[in-house]
Amino acid sequence: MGALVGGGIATVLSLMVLSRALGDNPLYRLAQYLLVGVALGYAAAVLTGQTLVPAIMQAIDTSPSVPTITIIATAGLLFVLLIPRFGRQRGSTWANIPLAVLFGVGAAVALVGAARGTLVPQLLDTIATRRIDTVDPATIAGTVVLIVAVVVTLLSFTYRQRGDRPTSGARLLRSFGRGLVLATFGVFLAAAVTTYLTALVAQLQAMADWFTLLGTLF
Amino acid sequence: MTEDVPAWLTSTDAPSGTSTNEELPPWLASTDQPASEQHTTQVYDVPTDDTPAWLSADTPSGAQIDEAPERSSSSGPEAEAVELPAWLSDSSSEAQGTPASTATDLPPWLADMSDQPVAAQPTHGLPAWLDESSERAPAADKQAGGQSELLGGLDLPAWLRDDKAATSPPQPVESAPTWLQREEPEPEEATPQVVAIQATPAPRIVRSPERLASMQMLEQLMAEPPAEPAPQPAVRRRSRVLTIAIALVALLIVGALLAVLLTQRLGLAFGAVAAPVPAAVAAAELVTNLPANRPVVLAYEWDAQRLGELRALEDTVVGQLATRKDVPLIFVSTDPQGALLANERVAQLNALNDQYHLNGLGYANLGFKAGGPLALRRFAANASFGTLFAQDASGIDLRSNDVTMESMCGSSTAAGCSWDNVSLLVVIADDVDDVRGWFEQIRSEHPDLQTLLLTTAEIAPQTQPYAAVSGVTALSGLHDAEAYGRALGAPSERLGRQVDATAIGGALFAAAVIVGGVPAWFVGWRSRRTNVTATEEQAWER
Repeated sequence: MGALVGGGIATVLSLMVLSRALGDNPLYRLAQYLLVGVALGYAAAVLTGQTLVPAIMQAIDTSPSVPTITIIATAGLLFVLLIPRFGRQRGSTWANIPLAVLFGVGAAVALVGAARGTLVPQLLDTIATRRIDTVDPATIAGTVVLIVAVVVTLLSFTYRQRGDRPTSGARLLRSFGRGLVLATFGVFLAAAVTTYLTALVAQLQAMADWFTLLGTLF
Repeated sequence: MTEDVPAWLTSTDAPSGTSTNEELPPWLASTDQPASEQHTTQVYDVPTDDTPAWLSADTPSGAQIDEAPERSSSSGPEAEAVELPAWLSDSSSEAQGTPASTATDLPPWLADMSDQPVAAQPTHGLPAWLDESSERAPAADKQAGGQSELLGGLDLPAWLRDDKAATSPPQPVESAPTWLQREEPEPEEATPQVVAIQATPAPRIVRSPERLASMQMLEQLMAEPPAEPAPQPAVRRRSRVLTIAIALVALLIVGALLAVLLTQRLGLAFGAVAAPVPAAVAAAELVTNLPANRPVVLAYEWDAQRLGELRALEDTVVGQLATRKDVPLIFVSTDPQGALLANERVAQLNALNDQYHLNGLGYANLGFKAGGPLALRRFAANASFGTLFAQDASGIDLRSNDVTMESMCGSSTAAGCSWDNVSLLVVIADDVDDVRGWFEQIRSEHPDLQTLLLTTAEIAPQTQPYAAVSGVTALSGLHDAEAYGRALGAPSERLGRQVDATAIGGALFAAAVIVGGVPAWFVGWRSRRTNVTATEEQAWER
């Protein structure tokens, strides 16, 4: 019974969303608002129930230690400083302090993480000797393609003065580089299309299952 | 009272009975004194000894002050005793002989007042400068006697000028300067007269050639007719044929997908066995060979909108982990919807009733961790791995639960927890930022940590750099999920049909792009050519 009702609601909502293919209509808007509202409401509930309330209850119920009191007091102070940002903006300068702490710490964490987790590993992997020190022709070909594509793509963005006409070789290089960029975007588009088609297939499968279930009842 | 006043001032006190002179100094009383009081024979005894020399020289004597009213009302040589400018004395003498001194030239209302006895004019007990009636009379007298010629040439505001001066301008005095004889239009009553200031000649402006050229250009622009407004680009409405064509293509794709989904597999490999996907095989081997009793961290960083792809991947991978019954699972998420999907998976594990997947024993749902990369950074260090259990999805601190800690960490205390005890990290994500966060904050700290990356096909190209690192296996999309099942030796018919439908849909989409691209290219080429022709014609017309 639950599968029948739940599947029916899902099928109706899916049809309402798919009706957008025929044009914008109230049914599509209704489904859109419903989905967005439910998602936001759930997110708010999760944030409240799993982030705010436990911390507050922990501070109230238990006898906190000195470090906990320090952390809670600092957080409370930063929260109080953030309050003037709302309303009439009186004394909102004080709100810059918690925002600066937030963005400063966030930027520092992101920067360190990007350097350690993305830039350095990818750079080292790009110039790794294993890409050349191999007998596998496919790996060697891949390394050559990688190097050429990176160099040509970067050269295609070469800055030049206005009115400075590039040579024919430079134009060919730029065209090749831009072609590579377009091919990359084409890959991204194809990947996105695959994802959307998969979502469509999954929804059609779910609707087909529901209609099949519905057909078994009659 | 008089003691505070200097002697030279006390001696000039007005006589009793004259209320006006009590409040005005004599030098002011001599000009503003009403006629009624000017006719009194009070003689001001001004002790010139007490006044400074510069003041005594200008201070009229008592006789002069006494004669002032007579000068205004009658002629006589006494008037000339006052040292007046020649043009003023002439005018006063002329005014004597003119009929202006008579009452016949006065307006009727003023003539009546002049006929009245002077002493009978009421003072109302007010100071003279407040009594309008007392002011009008001397003003009329002054005007009639030409005494106000000195002030008549001045630009006084209306409220300072008397009524008669406003109605009848003073008689021009021939001996006065020309600018005084000229009759000027009477200004309005309310507006103060503006003193005309002779304009000084403007300095000669030296204009540079550039400025002259700019001025010339501005003049040309003003002379030219205004430019015609640019034609608004016509809003193209989609033709009905195109709308029908799009609807037909959509119906064709949906019909084809339904046909594939509702029938047997098409056998797109034409009888050949589907080639195994290396990544799927590696992932299956990795999960199969995981050491027992070492936890697997499952990072749920995906939303329900990618259910079609990631649910299939999650089903296959987590399903295999669950079937082992010797690998504890730790669910954690920095995405609210991911926490919801983790709850759903936990509910499915509970429904297994296999006496292993119990809360705190076979799994631990740590719920949502707010903060994104910041939250991950808190748990990145080995020493801080135990803080992950400070709060689970229900808000319970699991660190005090010895069974849970022993099961999840291999140690009964949180201090004994470490990432080194984790056998596998599974990141299920539909966003590149989520993948980046886990790899930058967690895996960069533990490069040897085995990682399985499950993503959508959409972000697979962007996560490729992370997947290329050793120790990382990546699966993406429905195709890899089906290949994973095949690698485990349990292919899914349902997943196979969905993969076939996706392949058919992709092929139809590509065909629609190619087929529709030809007329689109032709229409674009014709439009560009039309625009070029129109531009050339416009240029030719110019």
